[in-house]
Amino acid sequence: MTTFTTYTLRALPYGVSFMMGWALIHLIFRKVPKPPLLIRMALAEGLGLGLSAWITFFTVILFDSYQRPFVILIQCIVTAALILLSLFLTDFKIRLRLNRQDLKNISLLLLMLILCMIPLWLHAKYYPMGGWDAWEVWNYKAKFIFSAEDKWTNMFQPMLWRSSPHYPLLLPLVNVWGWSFINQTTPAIPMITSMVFVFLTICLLSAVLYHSTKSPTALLVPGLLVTLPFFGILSISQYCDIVLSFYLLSSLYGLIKTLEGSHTAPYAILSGISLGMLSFTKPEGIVAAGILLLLSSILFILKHRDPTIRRTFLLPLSLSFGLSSLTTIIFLVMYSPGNQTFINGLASETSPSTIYRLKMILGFLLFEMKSAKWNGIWFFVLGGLILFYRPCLRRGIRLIPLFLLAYILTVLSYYFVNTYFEIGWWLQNTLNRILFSLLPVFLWWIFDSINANPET
Amino acid sequence: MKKSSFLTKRNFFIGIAFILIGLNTISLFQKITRMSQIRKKIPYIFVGYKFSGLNDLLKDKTYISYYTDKDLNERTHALQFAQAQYVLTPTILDRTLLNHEYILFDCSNEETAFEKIKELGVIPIRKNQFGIILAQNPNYLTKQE
Repeated sequence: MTTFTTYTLRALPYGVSFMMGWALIHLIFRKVPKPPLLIRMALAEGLGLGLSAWITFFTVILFDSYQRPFVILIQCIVTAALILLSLFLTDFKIRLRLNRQDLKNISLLLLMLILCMIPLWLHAKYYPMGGWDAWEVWNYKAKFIFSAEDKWTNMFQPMLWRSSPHYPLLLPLVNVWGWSFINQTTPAIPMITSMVFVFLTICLLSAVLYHSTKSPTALLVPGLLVTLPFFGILSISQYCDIVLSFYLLSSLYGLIKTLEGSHTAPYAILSGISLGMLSFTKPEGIVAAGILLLLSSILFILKHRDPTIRRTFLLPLSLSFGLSSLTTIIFLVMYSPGNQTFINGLASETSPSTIYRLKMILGFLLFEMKSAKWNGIWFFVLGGLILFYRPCLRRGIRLIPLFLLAYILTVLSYYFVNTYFEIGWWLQNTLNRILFSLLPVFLWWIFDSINANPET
Repeated sequence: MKKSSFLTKRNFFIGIAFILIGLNTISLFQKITRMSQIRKKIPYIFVGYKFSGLNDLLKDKTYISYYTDKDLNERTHALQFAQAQYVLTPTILDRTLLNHEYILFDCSNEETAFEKIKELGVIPIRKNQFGIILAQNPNYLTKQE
């Protein structure tokens, strides 16, 4: 196989997913102005890859094994169908008008983002197989689905508890899809997937900030993230945390737009799809999706008294979420062996949740945030929250602080209740990843607030 | 007199962000340079590849037994086990039972491995240059019947 053919076969799945996502977004926003170009591009690739994982999952279930020709065929048929539908149904009179200045700024932003990826790419080259969890959890499952034929469900055996068989499968399925054209489990694909999701995360984040603030400070955020060496290491480790981070951002983007009152139904659909995909990333994703669904529904209901307006949000959100999270529901009901590493410390007499454990958790959170590996980024975040506390708590963005508070409390409570692991070891190995996946949201919150009017 | 608009909280915060990016860039550059120098001396090795070359024999086997005299609670050995599991996917390495049709011996030296092979009464069928030995259990079929 020539180098050109190899690169083409590696890039093809990402290209097909992009077209699928692009057509899907055009269908969702067929009658209203679409999100700005850069946001649409980031969402198209992200939602497209999520949809590809969704299709691969159902194909594997249907044939009770991974059938490469069918996976490729179905993905291509769905892509073609979505493109045709979007061409027929889109109202082409509604166009997003870009003036020359906007186009210049977007090009500059895109160029900056591509430049930002260079240090990460260099970093990734030194760790071609990723981190420990990559070969023990995420890529292991991808390889299992790809090569085990009708024995693919063996990977859910409780005996493989070290591979966390209860973890959802979005990332492994994206990698399986990535291997489909090249037909081999090359380590290049998980590496490309992680790089793609890092790029999408910083692209979406800076584009959302640029369009909401119209300020060049949006360019600082990707810089802050990719120059942080620890962020780089975790980004290229081929773990699912960067994937969770991306779907968290896309869900929040859609939900904040609906709460702002702009084109409720399409943005509710976008949020519902993103939330469903978020729930298929990791158990933390299920928690995050549940919290976001609940909080956004409460905030919307409190804001709008009219039942008709409420319906324009709740109905599309719940329908799209229901459809998108079918993978998660089926996985949890039919395949997940349940959490093999759980002891309820509140009920257990042998491993009870103690006050010491609680102190350790809270102490470790502070210890982790001031750890040298973060290069002071959490002090910077905290400083920003103190300096701009009023705009940070303004009504328009209230969903973010409420979500962060509820999510962090839930995660800390889980550390307290589950006493299966020795708490010091567990916190040391996992808390940094929770903070890593939340860092883009924190930066969005602060950089949006420094340019905002506190009364909005 | 109008207050200077430059000295604002916002600009102060942005200034800190610039400083942070600058410091991070230096730290990142140092890290990548260090890593590049290390990689020039010691190339990246995925220790799990020690176990490759067995997939043709094991592809239809759901489980094989895995025997080691190494302490798998130790980080290096646990890492090697995890990588072996990855390389041999979809075959599952069973560390608890030694009565599967195939047994993989990953010992600190060959003598230990052969002593255990003798003790179990199994037949070694393949050995690679890393000292990984694959043995077959002759009693397996009888036991199954």
